[in-house]
Amino acid sequence: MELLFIFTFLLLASLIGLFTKKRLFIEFVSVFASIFALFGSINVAMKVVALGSYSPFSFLYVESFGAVLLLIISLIGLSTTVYSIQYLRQESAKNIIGPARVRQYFVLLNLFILFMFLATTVNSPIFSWIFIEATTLSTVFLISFYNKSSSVEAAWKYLVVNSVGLLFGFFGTLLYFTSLHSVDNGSIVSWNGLLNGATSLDPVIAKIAFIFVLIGYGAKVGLAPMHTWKPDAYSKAPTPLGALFSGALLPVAFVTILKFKTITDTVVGLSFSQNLLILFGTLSVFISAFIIFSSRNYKRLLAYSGIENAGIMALGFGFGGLGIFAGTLHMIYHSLIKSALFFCSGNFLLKYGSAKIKNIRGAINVLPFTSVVFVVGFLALIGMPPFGVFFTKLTILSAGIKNHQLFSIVLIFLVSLLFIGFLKHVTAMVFGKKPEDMSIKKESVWLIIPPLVLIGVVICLSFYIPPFLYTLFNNIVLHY
Amino acid sequence: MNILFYTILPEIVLLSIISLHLVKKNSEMVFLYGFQSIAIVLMLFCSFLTTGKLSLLLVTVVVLLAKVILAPLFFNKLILKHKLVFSVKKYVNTSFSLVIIAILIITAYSDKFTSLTNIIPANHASLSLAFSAMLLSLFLIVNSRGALSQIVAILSLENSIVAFAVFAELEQSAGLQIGIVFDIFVWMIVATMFVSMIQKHFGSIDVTSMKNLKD
Amino acid sequence: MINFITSEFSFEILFLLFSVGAIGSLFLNKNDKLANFWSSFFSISSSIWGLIISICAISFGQDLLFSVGHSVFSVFSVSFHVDKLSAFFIFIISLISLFCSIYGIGYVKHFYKKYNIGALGFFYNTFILGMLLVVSSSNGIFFLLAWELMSLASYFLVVYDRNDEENIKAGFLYFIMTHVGTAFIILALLLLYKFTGSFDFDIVKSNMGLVPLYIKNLVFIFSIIGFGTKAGIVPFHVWLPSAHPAAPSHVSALMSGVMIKTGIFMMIKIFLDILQPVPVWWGLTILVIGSVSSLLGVLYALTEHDLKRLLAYHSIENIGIILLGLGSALTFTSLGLPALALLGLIAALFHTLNHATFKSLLFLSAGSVISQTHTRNMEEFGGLIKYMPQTAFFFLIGSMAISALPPFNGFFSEWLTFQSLFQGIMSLDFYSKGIFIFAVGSLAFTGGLALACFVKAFGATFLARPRSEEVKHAKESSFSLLFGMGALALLSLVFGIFSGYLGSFFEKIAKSFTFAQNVFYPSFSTDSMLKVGNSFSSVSAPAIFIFFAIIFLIVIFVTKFLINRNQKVTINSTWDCGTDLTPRMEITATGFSRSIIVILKGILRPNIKKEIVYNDAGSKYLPKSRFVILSIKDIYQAYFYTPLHKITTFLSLQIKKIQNGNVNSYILYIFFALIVTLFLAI
Repeated sequence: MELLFIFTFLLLASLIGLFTKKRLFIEFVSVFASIFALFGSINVAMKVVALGSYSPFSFLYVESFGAVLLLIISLIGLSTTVYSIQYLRQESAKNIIGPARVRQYFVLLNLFILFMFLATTVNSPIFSWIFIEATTLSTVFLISFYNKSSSVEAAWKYLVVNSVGLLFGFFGTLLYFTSLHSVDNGSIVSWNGLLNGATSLDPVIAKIAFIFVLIGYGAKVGLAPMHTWKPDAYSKAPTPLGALFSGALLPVAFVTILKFKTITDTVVGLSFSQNLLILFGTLSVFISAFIIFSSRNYKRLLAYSGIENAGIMALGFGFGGLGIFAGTLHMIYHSLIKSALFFCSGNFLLKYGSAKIKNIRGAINVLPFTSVVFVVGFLALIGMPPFGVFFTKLTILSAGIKNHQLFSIVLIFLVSLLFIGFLKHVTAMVFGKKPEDMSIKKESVWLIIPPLVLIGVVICLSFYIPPFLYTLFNNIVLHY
Repeated sequence: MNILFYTILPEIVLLSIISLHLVKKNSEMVFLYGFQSIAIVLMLFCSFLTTGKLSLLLVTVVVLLAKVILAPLFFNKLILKHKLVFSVKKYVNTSFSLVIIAILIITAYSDKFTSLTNIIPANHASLSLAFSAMLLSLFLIVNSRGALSQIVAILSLENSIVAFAVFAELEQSAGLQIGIVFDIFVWMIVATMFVSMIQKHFGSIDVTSMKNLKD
Repeated sequence: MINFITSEFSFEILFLLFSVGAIGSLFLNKNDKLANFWSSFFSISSSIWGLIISICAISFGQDLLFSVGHSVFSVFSVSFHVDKLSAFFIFIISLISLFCSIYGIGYVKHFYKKYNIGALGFFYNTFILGMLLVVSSSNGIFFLLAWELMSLASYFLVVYDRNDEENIKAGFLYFIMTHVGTAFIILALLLLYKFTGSFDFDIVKSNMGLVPLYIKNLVFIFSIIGFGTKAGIVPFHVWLPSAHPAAPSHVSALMSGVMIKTGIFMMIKIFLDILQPVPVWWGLTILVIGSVSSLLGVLYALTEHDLKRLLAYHSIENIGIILLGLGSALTFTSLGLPALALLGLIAALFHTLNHATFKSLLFLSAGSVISQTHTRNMEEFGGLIKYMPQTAFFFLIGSMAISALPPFNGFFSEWLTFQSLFQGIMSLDFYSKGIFIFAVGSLAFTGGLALACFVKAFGATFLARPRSEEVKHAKESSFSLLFGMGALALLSLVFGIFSGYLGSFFEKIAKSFTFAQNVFYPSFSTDSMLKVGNSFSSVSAPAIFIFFAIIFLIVIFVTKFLINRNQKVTINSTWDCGTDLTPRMEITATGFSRSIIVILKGILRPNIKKEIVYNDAGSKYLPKSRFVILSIKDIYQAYFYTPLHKITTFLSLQIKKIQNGNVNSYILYIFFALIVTLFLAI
């Protein structure tokens, strides 16, 4: 029931933007819808913990991974909405955008979050596909938001690459349906239905289907070599959106791949999909580690970091065993930290007016709170103790060293290379002399609170995993 | 009826793809796309006739509306508005692309994909044709330099997938079909809006002029 | 009482005290004085507690194993194993941090109003906590956590004085090198995990039979690289000379005196304890590495005129000496001579303690000098003995200790190292003998060069006349600084005189190793003497001290009462050959060492750059000023690190080209990925 309310509120919040001109009202409704979504998601997650799965209606179904995703989407959604409000106000103050654009932003933002919720909870692979395609369509205008030629360019590439990817995903999904010849075509096939019918699926078809799904949805996740839209889209879209892209959309697409993986695994065994995940994961980490080394734009840097972490998650699930637990936890940490980093980079952008690394200097003096949160987020993401990513990376490495030692060894060095490159850029931005004409004003509270809260959650989660989350993770390990 | 359904229609789809590679004018591309969509509509209509489900008739009508009537309309308006008559540029010249087309078709018919095309053994030929159409559409996306031709190529990829689905007897419920068509329709509208934006910002719809985001 | 002190609970108190000190000072960051007080109070009291715990643990206690809580990650557990070796290192850490913290009370006042004192207290306490956790952890992942924590805290301490661009660069180099070293350590631990199924050190040790020899060799190599980077062996030392001077002086003392020893600790633990039995070439390799490090360390120290960089290079030299002891111990264990291995190990441990003591002393006194004169350049010092007499005295004691002059502690640990090497020459075959002879030669040579270097350092800094205005305004340091330095100086003397007693202390520690169990050998020390192997050689520290004291007193007595009895003593200016005495008449640090540099120019690659600025650029007859720049080519940067950097940048730019901006090629990548995967996987 809560799910329906979540959907309705988000839809309302979106439509409000079309009908009113009052900015404060739109902002208030959006935040309210997101807060409601958060509480609703926690409620649903508790139910899933208690019962194993939650299915209030036949067309909605949430199991453990879905519950985790709901929590992530709602938390990132809320923090993005709150941050966007202040961010857009500051941009309006500088006359970068006008009020009509702001309304359009909130309309599309709420639609985006709504579609992600729908994609996670709906009980049919095809509908899931439809809603993920809908997220592409709702965000493409957000990418071309600033209406400059570079934004249009980024949006076009986003559109083309994602559409091709999603069409592959669609084809792959269809191939899974070939196992269900004898089913009455009137009803909508559910995920469980596909899983049950997997026994009559031809093995070669299962493999081909998974390949199409991996490459197709992998374009949305950002695995190399389908990642090419990411740096452009992340750098040209409004900064708060980067948080939603890498914090919410990436996990949603990734989990879809995993759901199909379970179906293929029942037919051909684990090693096929695992090997594919390991290959694509390593390629992603390889490409992003090298490109980050000579990165010049910090928003593109964060995009490549997202690609790297997607690769690490793929490796976690590819190595299996302990790696699955670590991969899931890594997904949560990455979403939270990356969103916080995006918010901090939004602050840098507002203050310095440039997304190029060489134009940001002496941030510790100009924006002390943001810089500290940024550095903490960087250290957390790169795997410094005592943050949780330290443990997840080491666990993934240990899971890999048993059977895939070459990949583990390569992974260690790639991660070190990435650290060196990322540290170089962070040090350059945070330390140094600030530009001459930069005035030091007090930082706006609402621009700091979202990233601070997210980092706070990460710190808490690094030391203590609440039992309900732990149960969810165990179920995930068993199932995937 | 059977012959029409099983052999001519998929051949039309394949031929339209090949022709899409060869045409020079945008309006010709749009026409070929409409032609291809008619083939799809006819496929759906035949399957309605064989199964007798009313929902399929509804789907057929919707597809007819969206892909055969409205889409070419939108595209033609776009062409007229921006006077895009001759911009169908390609990367690879015609003879070489024909070679690649031949290679791709041979690949689609190869042993590797027999299990794919044997989902319904009776429809083996049609499925192979549909799969080749997919590969060719993909090649067309890579080859097109104009934004409009890229859109048409993506849409023909979607058409080939639908053709494949029909011949693999994977028609799902009407709700799904309509949902997918609606999705594609909105996609089409969004994409055409973007073509206008590209024309405004870059002065042409040549996608290779958009090469500034590198670093 | 003893049971309580050596119990799990007291260790937890120790860690808790440091944590409270860290977090508390972070909250107090608005008030400089209060933050300093809080941080110092906790670090001093925790250090004292650590001293008590470690002394009791070594003298009386059994090994302590305990773990705290459990984690969701099955490979990780917060488990501790405090054996005698760990307790010894806890002793060193607590001892040095005690006096550095006392010194810090006064020293940190320089940073009031400039930077955030709360943050300094936070990172300082976390740093010490990290070191303590490193030496007491028993689970590989927990060890890595502590290791990284220690590196992270020290990174922030190095860049603490962030207004100086050089410090940021130094911190960056330090952080990436320690991180790459950690990557190698992770690799070594992962390999061990693969074959033994656990990250727990005790389990790995008992399952050592499952590990094939080639893996052990790989672990050895990776450990040398990983721990060697932290310890500062050549060629992984390049971060040391820039990072140690950049940090505040009491932190430099800790880093140089204690942190690099954690690398040694892990090497001892892994090679002598966990990985046994090991092949012979390991010990010989370490001997060679130690010899080369010590030689190169002292040679580069000779070329430096930045006081703190000079001291940093000496740390590299002394790590080399410690490795000589470790290498000989390792060789002897492989050859089945545990009695001699004990000797080498004791030498290494003793020198670790001594170096920690006198190196911290030297850094602390250098810190006093630098904070008064605001420069690290020795060429601008001179005559400080008149302005800062106590600091000069303490620095002198430190110099004598590091140059291995009796009766200070450096002499006795180097003596033991020599003895261990001589034993090797006596009892080994030809090939190993050669390496031992090389080691002895390099140790001797190093000792001499170290003495030369410190003559230069002491002389240029404190003697003759002031060479800059700043010196004349220098004042003696405040009480807390003097106390810290004085205590360490006294310890240098005490450790030297009582080295015989300390010998039995070390024997207890060394005997706790598995290879040394159930071995009979003649004891190395009686109460006052150190002796080796059935009267091969022996030395008595108190005897030497008394001997020197007697001579000293006799000379003073004779001079004062016999020779000068009837003479009037007047004070006059120094004879100056008729001209006025100026500071330019004394030998500079550069000049002093230049002759040695030129002799060894094959290794050191000195170069001279001359520039002339003319009054009239056209006619070039009358120069306005000349510049002569003497420098040493940094061969490690030139031949190793810079090419590595160039290759990586090149690769990075090439790979970036896949993002070529062309959407058709992006789709092409997807196309290829699809076709290739389909063909490979089906």
